[in-house]
Amino acid sequence: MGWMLDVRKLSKVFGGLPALVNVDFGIAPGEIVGLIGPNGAGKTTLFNVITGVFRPTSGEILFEGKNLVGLKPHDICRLGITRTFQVVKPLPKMTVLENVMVGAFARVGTKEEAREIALRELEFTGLLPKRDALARSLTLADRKLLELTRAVATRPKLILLDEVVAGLNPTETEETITLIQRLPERGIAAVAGVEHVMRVIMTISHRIVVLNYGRKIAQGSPEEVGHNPEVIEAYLGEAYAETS
Amino acid sequence: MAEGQRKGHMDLTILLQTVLAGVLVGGLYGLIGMGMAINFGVLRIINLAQGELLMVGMYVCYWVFTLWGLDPLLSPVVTIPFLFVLGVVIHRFLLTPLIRARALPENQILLTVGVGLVLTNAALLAFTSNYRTITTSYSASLITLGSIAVSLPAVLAFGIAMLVSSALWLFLMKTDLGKCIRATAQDPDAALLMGVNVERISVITFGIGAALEGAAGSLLVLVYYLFPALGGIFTLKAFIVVVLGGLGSTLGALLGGIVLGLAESLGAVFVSTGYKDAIGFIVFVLMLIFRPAGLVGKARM
Amino acid sequence: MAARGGKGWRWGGAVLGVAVLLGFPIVVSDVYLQHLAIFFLLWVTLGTSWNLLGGYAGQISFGHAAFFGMGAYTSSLLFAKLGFPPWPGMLLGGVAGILLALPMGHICFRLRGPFFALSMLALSEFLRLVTLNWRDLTEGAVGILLPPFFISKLPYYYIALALAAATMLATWFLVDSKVGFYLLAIREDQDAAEALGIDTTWYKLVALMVSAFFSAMAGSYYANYMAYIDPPIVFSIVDISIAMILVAVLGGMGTLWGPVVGALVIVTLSEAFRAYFAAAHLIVYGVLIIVVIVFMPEGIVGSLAARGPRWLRPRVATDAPGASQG
Ligand SMILES: Nc1ncnc2c1ncn2[C@@H]1O[C@H](COP(=O)(O)OP(=O)(O)OP(=O)(O)O)[C@@H](O)[C@H]1O
Ligand SMILES: [Mg+2]
Repeated sequence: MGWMLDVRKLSKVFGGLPALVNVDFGIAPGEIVGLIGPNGAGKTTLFNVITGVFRPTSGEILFEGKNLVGLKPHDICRLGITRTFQVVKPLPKMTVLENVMVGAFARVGTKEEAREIALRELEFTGLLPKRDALARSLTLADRKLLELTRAVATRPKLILLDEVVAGLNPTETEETITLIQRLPERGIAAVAGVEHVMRVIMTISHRIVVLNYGRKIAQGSPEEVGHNPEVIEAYLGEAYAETS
Repeated sequence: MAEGQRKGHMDLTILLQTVLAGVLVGGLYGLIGMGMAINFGVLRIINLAQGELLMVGMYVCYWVFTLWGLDPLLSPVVTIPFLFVLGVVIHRFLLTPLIRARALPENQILLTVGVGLVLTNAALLAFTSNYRTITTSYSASLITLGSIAVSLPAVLAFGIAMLVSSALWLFLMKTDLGKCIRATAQDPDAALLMGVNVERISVITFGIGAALEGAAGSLLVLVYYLFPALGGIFTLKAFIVVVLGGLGSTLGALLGGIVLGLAESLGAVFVSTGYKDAIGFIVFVLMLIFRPAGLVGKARM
Repeated sequence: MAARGGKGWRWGGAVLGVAVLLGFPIVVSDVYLQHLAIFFLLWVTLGTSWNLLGGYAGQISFGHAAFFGMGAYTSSLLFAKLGFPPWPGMLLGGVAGILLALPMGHICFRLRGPFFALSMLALSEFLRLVTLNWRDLTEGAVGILLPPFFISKLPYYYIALALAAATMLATWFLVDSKVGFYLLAIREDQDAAEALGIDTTWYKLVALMVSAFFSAMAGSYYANYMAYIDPPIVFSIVDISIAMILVAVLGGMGTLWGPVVGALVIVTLSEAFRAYFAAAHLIVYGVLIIVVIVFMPEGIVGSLAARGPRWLRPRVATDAPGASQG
């Protein structure tokens, strides 16, 4: 199949406790995949393993045919995969613009070029008016947006978004979702990790992958997954259709 | 000086004697390191005034002996509370404000450097740079086991160091306060959620870390000489001990102390006394390369 | 922005500054003052090189005396044993600093936590012990006596000035480039930096090597100027390693001018207090560290700049001309 990212039989064990067990899935170019799973399901761990923060206990991660296992996060970023963090990690004492320039430097060498890219991406995400603010002075929503901008500035082919909408109010959620929907037109695929099965994620995702206790328990179109008894079971009756 | 040594002539007696001496001094290093380890566990910073606190403990012990004739072995009843209070004051008035202001960890460490400098130089002003020693009735006594002889003060110091370590361990395991300290060390946020007053625990822990140096100071006086600049040397030793044991692990620190004591003592005999302290560094670098999580910890980066 | 109006002042200030620095030893013939000026420049060099690593990249070292002493011993031994001329020897001293930095950085920068800071402390102690004990090579505690090279202080002054200027220019050049952004990113958040494609180990190593190079050159310079070194002096924890930190912290970590201000304060204060406290004059260092960390954590320049002109602020200046709405 034409997967860009192909994860095969991926397992990660932390001191005897399995956090991922034989997880298989693929992502096609320009695709938006929703990765859902309850608290502790292994979403963050999956992102950490794909981006090289942790080495997998076993399994393969192929990106455009290259095995990523053993590479460092910065190598993987340069190959085209970057991420945002569940607990946001802005560069607090640098301005918004400088934060995004750091991302842009992944592809260019001079300040002028980086600045140009950064301004363009800030415009794309709508953070441009705040470019001179220090990152630490931003609201949570803006910090999340900043991370996304910074990630886009590295010119990735795939962005892994960890808990994209956690802590956002409905308007902010809506705005973020719109932004994610626009990523494919920039040639960027995205995996949006979320804890709750939310309608917003169901509507924007081309495909949903469900994790529970480190195992992939379902995957498919939003409708298929939404009616999967095992998924409903995993959420213990927490209706997936809960509004936003 | 190591001049007259003939390498080919090392017999078992010397080896045993060296090992024993290393273990004995290592127990003390362990106690010194435990103070730093318990502080690191809760504060997440290395207290670089740890050796200076030890130095203060030694001076307190020295003066209560010289002025009132209190035997060093009994002096922990004075040095432990004294250092506890000193530690609490340092934390309460200097570190607490920084922690509240969410200062960078580097700045907190730098602050302890400043504290160390003030303590050292205050001691220098008060007591001059002269070397001092305490002579008790048992200072020169030896215990002989067959052909091996060890100094009685070293044995006593080791024994009491083990007693204090066990007391600390029991305190951490069995008392509510001890459990709070361990919970805070494991996960300050979770401890906070569980209703632990993390700030108070942090202050108390720092006091305990200092009190351990008080106890160690009382014992070190028996086997070492005393001068103001000694703090820096022991801060470094404590750090090596703590890295050997795995950062923040108190029991690990005890083991680390014994390893360092052994390495130094074997190095002094088989390499040269001048390089004794350099050997500690070599052991330390080897650890960093091969087992950065400590001797007993799981290697993780 | 006000930058346009400020530009003329900046150029004027720069020209005046250069004129004062070049003319100082000619106008001021007092040898003691010239000596203090030389020490000021030496501390600018040391504070600036520590600051590149500690202030910008956030990698605090408690043992930069290791590099200082390494430089001092390298050029002095090259001269004493091989007759290698001491001023070019300074460069080799700097290279020796880099050679020492490589393995240290390699071992420590993989690890998170306080390892690097304290390993440096351990390294400088280790070198002090080695130079003290390896008497065949280093003369041990006796130290190495070098012949004085110049009678007048003028050449010493200008060499120190060149060294300080080179260190500051190198820092400015690095900080104003991609490398500078990367170092700040590493200081601010290593995980984020990695995720953004920054090889954090490598960039930390770059900062360390540059820092070590200039610190070691300063050590060589010190040896040539004082014409005598011994292990306790050049590997001193307090007089070198901590004083370097103090210069940077006092002036303002992560600012270009911080170490200059810090050096001025330190040289003045330690001269002033030496008379009062004799050997214990270092108590002043201790009190200063505490006061600065508690009350002025951004340092003098950092605190002033927060209220002052934008270009002074403790981060990379990005106000390049042509900024939209600039
Ligand atoms: N660094 C680590 N060391 C040990 N265990 C870990 C580590 N990281 C994660 N785990 C464990 O792995 C499991 C999966 O955690 P993970 O953070 O990946 O879940 P998640 O799906 O992201 O959940 P959440 O909704 O909490 O973000 C959990 O049991 C967690 O405790
Ligand atoms: Mg998560």
